[in-house]
Amino acid sequence: MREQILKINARSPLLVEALLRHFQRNFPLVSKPYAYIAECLDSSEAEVLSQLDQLSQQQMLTRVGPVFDHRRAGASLLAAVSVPESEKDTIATKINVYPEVNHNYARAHHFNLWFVVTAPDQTYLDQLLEQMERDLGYPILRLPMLKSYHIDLGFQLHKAPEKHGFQYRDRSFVLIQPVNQKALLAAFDQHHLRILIQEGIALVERPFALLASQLSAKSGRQITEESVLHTLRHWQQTGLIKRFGLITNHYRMGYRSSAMVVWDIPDDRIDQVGAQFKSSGLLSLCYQRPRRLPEWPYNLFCMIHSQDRASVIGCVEQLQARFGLARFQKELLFTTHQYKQKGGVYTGQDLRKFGVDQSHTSSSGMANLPQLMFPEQANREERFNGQT
Amino acid sequence: MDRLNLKIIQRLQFGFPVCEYPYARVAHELGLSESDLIERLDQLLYSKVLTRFGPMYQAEALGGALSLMAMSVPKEDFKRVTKIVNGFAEVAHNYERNHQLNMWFVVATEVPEQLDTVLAKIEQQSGYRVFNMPKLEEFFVGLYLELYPLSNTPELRASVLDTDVHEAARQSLSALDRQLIIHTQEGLPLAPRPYHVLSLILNISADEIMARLEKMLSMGVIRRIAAVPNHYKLGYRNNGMTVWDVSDEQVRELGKKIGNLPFVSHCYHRPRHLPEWRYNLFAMVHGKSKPEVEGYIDRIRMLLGSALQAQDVLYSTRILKKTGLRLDANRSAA
Repeated sequence: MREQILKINARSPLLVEALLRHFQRNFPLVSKPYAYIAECLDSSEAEVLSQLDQLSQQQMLTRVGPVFDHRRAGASLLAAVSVPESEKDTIATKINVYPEVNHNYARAHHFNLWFVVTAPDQTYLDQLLEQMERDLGYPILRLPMLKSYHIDLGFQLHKAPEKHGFQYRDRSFVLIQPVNQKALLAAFDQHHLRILIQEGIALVERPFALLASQLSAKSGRQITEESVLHTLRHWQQTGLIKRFGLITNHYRMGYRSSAMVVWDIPDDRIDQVGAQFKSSGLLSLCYQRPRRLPEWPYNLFCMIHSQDRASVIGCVEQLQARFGLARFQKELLFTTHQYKQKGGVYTGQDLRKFGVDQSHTSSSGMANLPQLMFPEQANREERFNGQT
Repeated sequence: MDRLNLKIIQRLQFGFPVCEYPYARVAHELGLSESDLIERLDQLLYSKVLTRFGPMYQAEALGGALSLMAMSVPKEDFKRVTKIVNGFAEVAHNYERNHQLNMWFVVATEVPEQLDTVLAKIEQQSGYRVFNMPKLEEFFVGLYLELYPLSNTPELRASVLDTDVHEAARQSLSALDRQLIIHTQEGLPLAPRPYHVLSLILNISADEIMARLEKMLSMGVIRRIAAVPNHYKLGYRNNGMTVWDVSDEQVRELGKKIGNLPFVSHCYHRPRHLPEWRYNLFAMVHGKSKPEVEGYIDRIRMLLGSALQAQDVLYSTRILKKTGLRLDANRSAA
């Protein structure tokens, strides 16, 4: 699959490889990030921008931006419906209409549509699901995450580091910069930045300056590029942002086959199996979710991405043999179609309720972020109804 | 160890140029490609053969203070005390040595008064006395291991002058200099134009970055921009801290002589602590074997002649901690 990526981008295969190798995380949060990347990779800013633009047009690159920590960013849920094959596309289209849905896939199973719903909080999420059930006309299987055993994101930073500057960690271009707490955006502006950046940053020389001018337009005050950068670094160093970088489309990248593999593991063994799965290096995600008896007996979920169907099956067989799981019931749900894949939307849709005078005067840079994102004064009921 | 890697380390001990494409320049000098040099440096840093690659800052020039301290810790309590000592961010290096005073560490602080605070805290938390041995005079500082016979080694060695830090240097550091220091404490970017990378981090022109680095080099705030090898990993497992009791009247003249010896990396005049510690002249001697080091010690002994009253050598038996000097990013300029 690597050959394929390189062939498509024959103009500068090494640059594309290096971009993907180094900048799926550790994206430099500096004024001119693409120039910085160009310096690291011995290229030019124009060439880096043009390569990213090309990757984006080929849909290999979904966006350049942050991946937020679901648990800290709001509520989210894996959901599934079982619909007649003849109605599948219609229902999928209905599901896609909801901006709160960020992933939507068809899978080869009796439950044939699988989607992820994200929301500011649990109440919003519950109401939204009830509304969707009425709208779709089918019951929704609700599978919240109970425990995360593995997320293939590699290097994560949850503690404010002591060391700053260019680092050689993981033989990658890691740049850690001090955060000036005084330079952080006010709560109101942080909320807007959070919304703006969900779609990723622009492929322009100074994307953070662009964000700053967009924020200035919203708040009517001068927002600096510097404060946008400090806020993003702060989010990254406190763990709200899990990673910042190139976000790719597995399928377009040549991982042509993917399956959600679900197992029914005894409750007293599931943590052990979760840890074993993580250590196997064969899967990209591994979560514990609740069983929903009688229709859903599985409690361990993992995602396997590989170049073809046979190698996905090969991975599952390896897992089973290595960890002695043959006697446990399992199923492979191959992805047959991708209806939607984007970043999570945790901010709700209607911000008209946001009194500018209520929150933008906050000068505290250390505000509680989740609360900050979803202030109590916003009327959720109305917001909820407003966007249908 | 790969001979080409030794050649690279040998060359980079003596300094790294400040120019647009410094890796290309050094690579050309060594007869390899720029990308090969960068790749090899990355590997050497990752495998910790090099502990650091970048500007080596003078603590005193940054307005900070540096001191060598020693403790006598019973074996059964060693682990606990190591943890206490290493727990201080101000402790840059810590070595176990075969002597009654068996733990030796370097403390670097941003302001001189902080040295006493750290010392007091360590004494209080560990319950043992700390012997403070700040340098009174410096005769030579460098670590120029003879790793590879470069034809220009003598010139390189001569080019690294021991610049005295101007008193004015400390005051003249601007907030921007401080930012530059903070962002290069971990090392220099491994990119063809490292100073351009820094310019993008700090939002000032690469020319200004280079000018500031040149200025700090000339002022002695930066000793040199260089690679610091882990001498253990290079086979220099016998690192003797030789200590000498010579008359205080002669210590300066003798210190200079010893500092000139090629196998000596550091040479200092330090205070005595009678009756526990009588030695006032320190010289670090590095060798691949004990006999090699003992041969060097004999040469120093001959050189000191009748001025010598007593002598000892302390070998490091373990590295307990080794980091570079750190400037706190969250503090503003003094």
